[in-house]
Amino acid sequence: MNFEQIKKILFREAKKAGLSEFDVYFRMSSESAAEALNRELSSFSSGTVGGVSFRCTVDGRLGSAATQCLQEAELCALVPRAVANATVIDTDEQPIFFEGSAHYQAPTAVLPDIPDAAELRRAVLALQEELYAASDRVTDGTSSAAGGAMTEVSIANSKGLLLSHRMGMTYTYAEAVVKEGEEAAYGTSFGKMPLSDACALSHKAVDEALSKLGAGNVKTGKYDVIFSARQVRTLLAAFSGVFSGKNALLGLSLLRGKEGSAVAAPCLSLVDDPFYAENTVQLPFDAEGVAVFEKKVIDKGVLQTLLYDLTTAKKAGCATTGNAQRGSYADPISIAPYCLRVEGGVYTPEELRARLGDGLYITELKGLHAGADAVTGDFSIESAGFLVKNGALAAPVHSFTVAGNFFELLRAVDGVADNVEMGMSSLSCIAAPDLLVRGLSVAGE
Amino acid sequence: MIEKHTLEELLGIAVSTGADFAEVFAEHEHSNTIRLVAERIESIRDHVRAGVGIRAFVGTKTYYASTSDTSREGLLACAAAVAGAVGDAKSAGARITLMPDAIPDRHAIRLYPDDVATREKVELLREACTAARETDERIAQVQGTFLDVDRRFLVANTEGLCRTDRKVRTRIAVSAVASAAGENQSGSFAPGAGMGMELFETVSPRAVGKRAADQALTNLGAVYCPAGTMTVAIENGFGGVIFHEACGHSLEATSVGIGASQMAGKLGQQIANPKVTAIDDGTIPNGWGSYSIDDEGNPAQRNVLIENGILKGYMIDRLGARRMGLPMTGNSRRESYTYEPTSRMTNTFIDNGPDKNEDIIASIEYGLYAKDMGGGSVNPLTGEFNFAVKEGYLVRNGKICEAVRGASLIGTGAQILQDIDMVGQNLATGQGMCGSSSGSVPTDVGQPLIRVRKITVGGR
Repeated sequence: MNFEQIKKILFREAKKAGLSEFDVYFRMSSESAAEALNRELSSFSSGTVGGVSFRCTVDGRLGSAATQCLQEAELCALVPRAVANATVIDTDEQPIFFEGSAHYQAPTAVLPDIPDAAELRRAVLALQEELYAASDRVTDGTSSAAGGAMTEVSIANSKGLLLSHRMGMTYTYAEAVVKEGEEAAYGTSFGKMPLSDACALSHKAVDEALSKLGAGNVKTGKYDVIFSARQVRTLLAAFSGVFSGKNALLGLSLLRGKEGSAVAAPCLSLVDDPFYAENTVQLPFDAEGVAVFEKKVIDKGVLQTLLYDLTTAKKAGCATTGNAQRGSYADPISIAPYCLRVEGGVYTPEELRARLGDGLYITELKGLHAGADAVTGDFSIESAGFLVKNGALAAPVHSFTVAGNFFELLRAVDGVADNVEMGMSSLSCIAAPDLLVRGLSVAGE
Repeated sequence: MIEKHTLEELLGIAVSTGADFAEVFAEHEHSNTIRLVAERIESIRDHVRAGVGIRAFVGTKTYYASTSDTSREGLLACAAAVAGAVGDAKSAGARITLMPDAIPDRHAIRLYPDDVATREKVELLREACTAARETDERIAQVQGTFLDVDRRFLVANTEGLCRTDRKVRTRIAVSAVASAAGENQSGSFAPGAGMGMELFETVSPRAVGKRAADQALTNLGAVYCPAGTMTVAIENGFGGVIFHEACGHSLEATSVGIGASQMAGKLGQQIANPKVTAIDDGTIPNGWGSYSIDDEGNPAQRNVLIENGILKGYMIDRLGARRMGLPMTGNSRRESYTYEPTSRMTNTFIDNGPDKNEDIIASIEYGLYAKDMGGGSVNPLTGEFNFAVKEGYLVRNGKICEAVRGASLIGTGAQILQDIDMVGQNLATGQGMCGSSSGSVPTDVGQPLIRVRKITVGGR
């Protein structure tokens, strides 16, 4: 059943139930992926999965229900389920169904071609060959993966809104396992399909793995630190909830009431950019149907805006920033960025290390889902990386923690590199360069 | 769910191009997630998930397709996608005859959540959140979640297996924020079980809310935990996450079967202190991580992983069994039909040991008492793990002293298993969600109070 047929049934049932405010949100994804392990193809998978959510207002309360069963009887049952759920909602937030924006910006990304099975197999096997060829220390457990997904998102409501968009993404992934004696280490690298340079992608993963062999320990103490671009993205992903206007209203973000104030070092600027060119997963509208747009969140250290949906913006007395999102079609609307981008700075990565002098270059942060608390800003995280001496990378180090507070860290940034790199996580992306931060606590030996 | 003759037809298609085994997994799950924020019911996520996943093996290569289209056309297309991925050459076509049977259900449900009005669930959630709010005026924000899941599934394979199961789980979670002088601190508690609404005969919503609030208040008055290596006592219940992360994942065939685990090839070896016996038991009646059959249709088992420090066994799914040449252990799990199953933990715990709990604290001259733990993660290849301390206290001269916050513990599995040098006697479990390649599944972790001789404590 396609969206048009689903919409017709749900609109009919909604009107039959006497509802005047409602919407239908639909998402369907087709994806395929191949994986290879120890020089051989290990798995191939494909899937076509999606569903629909129905929301309605009953006496000013918002109810919803969702299903993957796209058959008429199941769809008809969604309406009474949503109505029943509305009766127990008692939030003071007035639901808003939006009639549509005057203009929707066209995505800057070209819809990628989704690779077929043969292309995926060729890619993962080519990566395997190059991974093993890169070093004689590459060993069992070395894997590669490639895949692609196409997602259709559609939304229609009782105010006449009708929007539909397709977006796609592809990826390649290489993970090298290297061994020297009893010691094992791994390295990873990411790319896109079509696979243009298996050799470069594989070498990146193998070189990273080899660079970790022989890692030593660090002494407990205070250190100046550079977080690699990848780890700045990891940190931002863990703390992105602090920019939600809703969390601020609820007292769950310490950025509450800080709009217009300095919250970070003057060298730091942060943008939410739904149309960041390298990100192929671009939608012109948010989950409420509002046109999305680029906005400065932090400009030269000063907080410009938090992120809002229609309901939260009304409560806060400001305009929506078009940041209503749904993790899946079944989830309630939440507020999240599309593509947080830390603006590149004036230093090359080498110049930033020279500015650091002595300290640590952090290339791995692990367990942030548990070790980072967005409410307090505190983090204490398992880390690995390199000692930096006189501005040059020295020995690899591991098995230590870096601890601090995200809000203090924003202020303690003392240099931004120019190597902005993007990474994907689910349907959002983050782009960032290396960042120099002064005075973090490190626990080692 | 799906007629027997259709299942046989789908399996026949899936092996028609050279696969030596195929399996159909069909699932229908109804879940409700009620969210309370700032004393108001904010949302209900009422969702039906339904679909089918079909898998075929050629040796240790796997081919998988999934679909939410359960019409006959959708199912046939899904089976054809698997067959097409395996190869082009059509074989004569195997005749599959399924032999449905039933595995006894050890996890009886007395009150199915779907038979209870949403209002009753809302009242339980309100009770928990109100208790948190009323604990102290410094409790500035309370959020609560009530979750119930009713999952039915069917597994059929080319060996003739055809089994169904119904798994219900219910959980209540409260997180509280205490605030003073521009500082926020949080606390949370989230008990659950493989039960229906009868869960609340043993779990008091008020106590859940109070515990979350008390933890937030404790952290509000806490100083930052000092950094360094020290002796740590880890309390029972969710403290068992240390074994889950430090060792459990490294005993799953997912990593052992491809040689990417520090525990590969160590069966029969002394890998832990002799005081450590560790068990994975999917048969515990109504356990959070329990089931009657796993997601490949095999009965749940009680598997001794480590006995008196000696490695006795791994957790093995069908693919792992092929790779390792060892029998399956009833540990195959997946979040949903969109994932291929793999070996996962169920209810995993360190068993009671020989030491008295009071002796464990008294033995520590200077160290950390981790009363409650958060989640963590591990790399099975290197065994390097981390996890967060949600509520901790410094110990001096054998006495529990001031509260400390912001601590994490890191180490390597092989080392920490040797360094668990005291094991107490108050075994209890805690509930968590475990993420891995087959998605997020409910797992219990557990242990009595234990002492770790030396571990790196991340702090400030």
